[in-house]
Parts: sequence; C-alpha cells; structure tokens
Amino acid sequence: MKDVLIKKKEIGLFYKNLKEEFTVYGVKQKEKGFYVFDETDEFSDPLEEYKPTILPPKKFLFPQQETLLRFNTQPHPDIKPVIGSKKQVLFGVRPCDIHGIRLLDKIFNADHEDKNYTQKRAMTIIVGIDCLEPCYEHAHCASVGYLEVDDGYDIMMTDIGDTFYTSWKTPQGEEIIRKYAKFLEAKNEDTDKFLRMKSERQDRFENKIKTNVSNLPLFFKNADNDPVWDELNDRCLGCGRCNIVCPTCYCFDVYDCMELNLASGERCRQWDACTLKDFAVVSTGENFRPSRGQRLRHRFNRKFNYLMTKYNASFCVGCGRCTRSCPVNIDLVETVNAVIKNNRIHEKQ
Amino acid sequence: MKNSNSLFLPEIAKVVSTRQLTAMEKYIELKTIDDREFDFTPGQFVQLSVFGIGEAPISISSSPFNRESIGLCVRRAGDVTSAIHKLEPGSRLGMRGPLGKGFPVKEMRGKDLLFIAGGLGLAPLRSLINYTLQKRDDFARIRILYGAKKPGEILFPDELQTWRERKDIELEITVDTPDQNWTGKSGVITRLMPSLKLEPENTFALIVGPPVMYKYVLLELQIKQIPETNIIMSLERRMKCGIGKCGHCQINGVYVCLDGPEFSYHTLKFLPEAI
Repeated sequence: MKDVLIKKKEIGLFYKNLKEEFTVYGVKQKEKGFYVFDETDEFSDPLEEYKPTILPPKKFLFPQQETLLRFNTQPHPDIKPVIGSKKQVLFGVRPCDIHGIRLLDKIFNADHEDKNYTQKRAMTIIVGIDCLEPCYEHAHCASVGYLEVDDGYDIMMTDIGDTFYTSWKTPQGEEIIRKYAKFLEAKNEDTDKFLRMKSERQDRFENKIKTNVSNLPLFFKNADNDPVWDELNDRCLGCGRCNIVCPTCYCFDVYDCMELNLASGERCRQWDACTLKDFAVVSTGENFRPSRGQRLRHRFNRKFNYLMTKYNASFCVGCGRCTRSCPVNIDLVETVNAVIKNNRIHEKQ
Repeated sequence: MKNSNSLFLPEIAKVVSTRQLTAMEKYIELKTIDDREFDFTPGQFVQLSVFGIGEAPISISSSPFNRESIGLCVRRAGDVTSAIHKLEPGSRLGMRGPLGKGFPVKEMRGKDLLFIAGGLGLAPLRSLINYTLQKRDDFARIRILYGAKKPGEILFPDELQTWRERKDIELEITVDTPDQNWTGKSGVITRLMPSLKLEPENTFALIVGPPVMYKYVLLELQIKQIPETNIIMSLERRMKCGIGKCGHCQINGVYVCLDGPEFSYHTLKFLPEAI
C-alpha cells in the first residue's frame, strides 16, 4: 500500500468526480452546529468544525424505512422480494461511525445473512476522515477503544495541514483514487508528519470511562439491581431518541401497507426502539419490560454486555449522540461510570 | 430455510382444512402450494403472513411424523390471527419456517416425561406428545398434566380422550373454574403436582403455558428435585423477524426465536427477564 496526498483545494474535485459513478453522500450543515449526511452537490464537510451528524450514516445501509416485499393478493398472493442497492460513496465518515458500520456488518451477517443490508453494504464505498481532535464534549470514542480504526473503510484521509494524507484499505479504494482524485505520492517527511500528528492526538482524547472497556460486560452482568436503573426510571421519558441516533441500534418493526385498491401492497421494516413502551408487548397485552428503567437497562446491556459478549466488541462507539439528543440529559458516560462505581468489586486489574 | 434470497420472503401455503376448537381457537391445516414435505422438530414455529395485515409467529401443533401438512392452533388475539381465523379451505397465505430450535428430543430419549400444559400451551406440546407416542418405546413413563381456565376452553377433547384411554400414558386434566357439568378435577394446574411420584434424575419436565404459570410450576418441580437441565419451558415473546435480527424477542442475551423458543431452566435462571 502506498499513501498519497490530496491537496485540500482538490478534495472538492475528487468529491465531484465520484458523482459520475456513484451517489455520493457527504456531511453538510443543516442548521448552525447540526450536521447531516446527505447527497450534496459539492464537498461541504466542515472538517475541524465537525460534530457528529444528527443521524449516523447507517441510514444509507439500513434505511429508516425499507421495503422488504411487494405483493399482490388477487386472485392469489404473489410475492416479490425487494432488495434495493445502488453504487454509493459515504464521504467523510469518522472513525466512530466506521466502527458503527463494522458492527452492523457483523450483525447482519451473523446467523442468517440479511441481504437487504449486505447487498447495500457491498455496493458502498466508505471514505473516512480521521479525527485529530475530539469533536465535541460528548465524544468518548477513545474510552471504548474506537478512536483507532483499521478496518471497515476503503479510504482514510487525515487532515495534515494543506493536504489530506490519504491511505486506501481496499482495491476499490485504490481504484477510485487513481480514477477520480488528483494526488501526489506521499514522501517520507509527509508520512513522518502524519504519524507524529496521529501520535500527538492521543493525549487530547480523554478516557472518560473509569475502567478498561473489556471489564464492562462483567460490571453490567452484575448490575441488574443497581440503583442507577431506579434513578433513570424516574428521569427517562421512554422517547426512543437514544436508539434512533445510535450507530449500532438496529432493532426494527415489520408492517404491511396496502394500496388503496386493497389488492397490492408492501411489507416494510422501519427502525424501532427498545426504550419505547410497547417494544416487548405480546398480543395478550403482557409487557415483558414494562418500566422505563428496565428498558434503559436493556439498552445499556445491549451496548456493554449482551452484544459485547457475543461479538467481543463494545457496541457503543463513543459518538455521544445519545447523550446529546436525550431530552432529559441522561449521560451515557455518567451512567456507565455510576454502574462501575456501584460495582467496583467486579473489576479485573 | 427454503428461500435463500430474502430472509423475509415467505413461501405460499394453502389452507387444507379448518376447525373451530373453542370460541377463541381455530385449528388450521396447511400445505405448501408445491406440496413439499415438512421437516421440523416439535416446538418449532412458523411465521404466518396474511398479506396486507402482517405476520405472526405460531407454533406447530401437529406431529412431525405427518410430513404432508402442518397443523396450527391459532388463538384470535391480534390483527393477523383474526385474519387467519377468517381463512377458508383453499385460501392462501404466506409461511416462513420452521423457525427456532424446538424441544431437545434427543436428550429426552429413555427418560420419564412429564408434560405440563396450561391453556394454549397444549398446542405446541401436542406436537411433542404425538411425537413421543409415535416413538413410544423410546421413552419411559409418560404423564400429561393439562390445565384450562374453563371446561369450554379445553382444546382437542377427542384427542385427550384417546390419550386417556391408552394404558401406556397417564393424563390428568384440571380446570380453574368448573361449571355444573364438570366432573373432573378443578383448581390450578399445580394442584396436580404434589401427589406425583417422580424419579427426578430420570425425568424431563416439558412445560408450556402462560407466563404466570411458570413461576408456580417451577416451585413444585424444584420441590420434586427435577434437575434444572431437565426442566424445559417454551417462552412467548413479541417477534417480528423470527431470525434473530429485529430485537423484539430478546431476553437478556438470548433471542427466543433463534435460541428457543424452548429453554431449559438451567439457561433461564441466568436470564432475570425470562420468568
């Protein structure tokens, strides 16, 4: 692998050229301080001003709403699967969100391959932009070990001043750089500068979680009756925002929609949220997680225990979106630290 | 799975026959339109689709030795099951499955079996009971306890009668609220348990019923010292996908659809949300 340099003033050209072949989604400002991934005419990433987008880029792989089947019911049911995908580039994905996609890759390939996801993923090229400074106060990527990323992207660009120090990870990444970017080969001094800037960033990213992340499953296994859940039960509104903005939340509901002719229709899935009141309600009306505290405990366990144990990886990527979006200021890091504090006995040194 | 293309694509099945069992429960028999043979383990379930209404998980109630069709006991509880109740012979619907793991039939071989069915719980257990009766010599003593709320809610009365007449199995039925014509036992199902003489190490208890039943049945089984690994329970949870993705049926770290819906108490006791 050879690393290359793309001048900052030529990044817009790369972005624009990619649009010849791909639908390109980049970061743009929606309103002051709030960013979204969207199809944009030009490169509009705020770079050092960047804060995590309102929704993570998972929406291009696992859309909020997605058709799974189309059917005709008359005279007899006739069903066609729908698996939509297109050649797309996600441009400017930060390490936390790359980890989010890596984790969703595991989920949708495990046990039964979910082709509605995997076929979109196979058609997607990810151009990452690395972080040299913490993006905002809620970020805790380093605390969960996800500042560094060495997989799950095609190209990674690092802002080293006037240029992006650019590496490709996959043959597709190399191909689109050669085809669409104006670049120079990186010299040794460029590589030295890049490595120096990467190593200097370490001190700027604080470890906010008060234990090694690998200890968390044990803490959470033993925290079912922790008072923190009672406290959160009284604060949480059960609104589901933390689920919706999370890069690794993937629960969904499935429902049918009929056309007005009442003969044809679609089966769709849409994002669901385990913190919503009716998430675990069965048809007899029984709710297996009736309280908000129980549902929030479930959500934290999904991130730091259940899925973490199954896949040996934290399912919190440290983007801080849940904390930022919570209407009652429930702070993920504070909650995890409260669990740690109350259960210190479970720590492995 | 038959459909390797989309996980969500059902195959088309047709209703062969229907039978009203009680006011709330209907038995429907299905075949696939290409008449493929069914191969399943008792305790597994299918996702039934009425297109335009939705999908619902229903456990298979027929014997796995009948490979030409499957029978399902459907309680009218929500939109999809209400729509299924309206289907007539010849109607077509969607089906995915069989899904789940089912009962551990291999481990049960050679053991005494104690079936404990509450209400609609008889539906999935009926598949397993008929399986064990077909392979009667593979199992030792077979006892069936069945509890219904009212005499009118007793499922499969004719079949219960043939089980009662067999000399090689024992059946006891109780109803919570008897009526004037009821001559059998009354009271909750756990009332049938204290008098049971069991060889605990050699017994498998197979339990399907409403959530409230499990707590009390478990207590009785623990008094009888049945090993935790030999207590098998089937759990009901909300399910959307049936294949371990949508998250609805998750209990702590396990997926009911993928890892169950039958679990041993040995597994469930580590899952505080299970019972």
